[in-house]
Amino acid sequence: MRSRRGNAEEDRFVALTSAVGPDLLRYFARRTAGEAADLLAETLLVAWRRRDALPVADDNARMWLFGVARNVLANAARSGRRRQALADALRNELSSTTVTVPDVADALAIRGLVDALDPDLSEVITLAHWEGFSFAEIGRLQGVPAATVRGRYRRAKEALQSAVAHIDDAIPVPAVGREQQVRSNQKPRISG
Amino acid sequence: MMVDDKDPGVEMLMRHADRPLATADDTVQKLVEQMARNIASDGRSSGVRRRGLVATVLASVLVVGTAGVAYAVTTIDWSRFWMGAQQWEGWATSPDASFTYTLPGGGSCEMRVGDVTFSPDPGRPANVAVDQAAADAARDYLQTTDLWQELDVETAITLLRGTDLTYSGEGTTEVPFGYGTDNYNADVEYNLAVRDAVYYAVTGHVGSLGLPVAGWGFSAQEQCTGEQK
Repeated sequence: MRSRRGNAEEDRFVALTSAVGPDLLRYFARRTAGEAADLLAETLLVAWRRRDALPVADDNARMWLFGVARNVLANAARSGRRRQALADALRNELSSTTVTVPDVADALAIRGLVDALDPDLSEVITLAHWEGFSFAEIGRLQGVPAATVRGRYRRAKEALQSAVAHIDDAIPVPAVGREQQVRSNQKPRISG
Repeated sequence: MMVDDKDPGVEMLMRHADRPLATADDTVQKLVEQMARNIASDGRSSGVRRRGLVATVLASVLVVGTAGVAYAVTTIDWSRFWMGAQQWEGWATSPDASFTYTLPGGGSCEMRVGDVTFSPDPGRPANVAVDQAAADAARDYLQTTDLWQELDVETAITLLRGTDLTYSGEGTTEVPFGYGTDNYNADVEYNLAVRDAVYYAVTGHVGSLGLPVAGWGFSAQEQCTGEQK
């Protein structure tokens, strides 16, 4: 028979992971091709094994889950990954309902620029704008002070700005963004 | 508090480059909920069988806290984290794997891993699979690989730093410790990470073979010299 503590522990784990699940799935889908469901399943496995370390406050627990996800992603990139049977249902659902919006050329081009950044800079820029994390939250994930994240963000922004300036018309930057750039100082810029 | 100075131009670019999911959140939530239930059900039984090394970091800390020594709230006696006995346990005299490593402070340790047993819990849920082959695979892995080369201590440290660690001395409130707190000991952190990395390596290998991680366990013991206390 399962203890009352066990039930409460499992209920919290399920409630928390199902609430954060869509955001975690987006996190993986943005950074991998066709592996998001497997990586999410692996994240849940690791999180359950380490549940004694799960922070009490939900906000902290959400950040903790993203920390686990970040390491799962790093391990997957480093050593390849096994498919998780647990992820089958989710994977099937995703494939049957169109996993993601199809890439278009300019989106691919921009992602190419982001991917070309130093990994720490790329991670800062994507976590800040895709996941919407604050610099302090990104600092917790990267294990560095928020001031360091701010510096990385600035360097990423400058690197992107430089890349766009070099590529100029070869990269079809979104019209609104380009309009703003040209207005600022007559040179293609990402930032105003 | 300083406000994040995110650039609106970059925000626009990144929005354009995003790869949004087409699947509705509530659909994902239902599937994730089922996945989480399955994992909790499977994992609970395997956790019962874990021994020694397989205990979580937090559990290790709590064990230390029951040693019967009262600590000042903001003081941690780091010697309590070095649980290696003066003598090797019986199984450790003929381990399946052993390796030495250097602590950040210059001390050195030897870790021995072995005592792999297949001992499924008869009271496990009906849907939790066990297989003697899993224990055999773990033993084979330990005996035939250079375990130290298999460990990802760096990632284990990152995971540790992502958790809120607390230390409980008897009769005291919990004291936060670890990276980023006033109570940080690099040697302790590294040693905890090595233990975790061994666990991740062994269970990861067995899982990668499609074998269950329930119903078996293993032990590890380390002895160190020159550690920071």
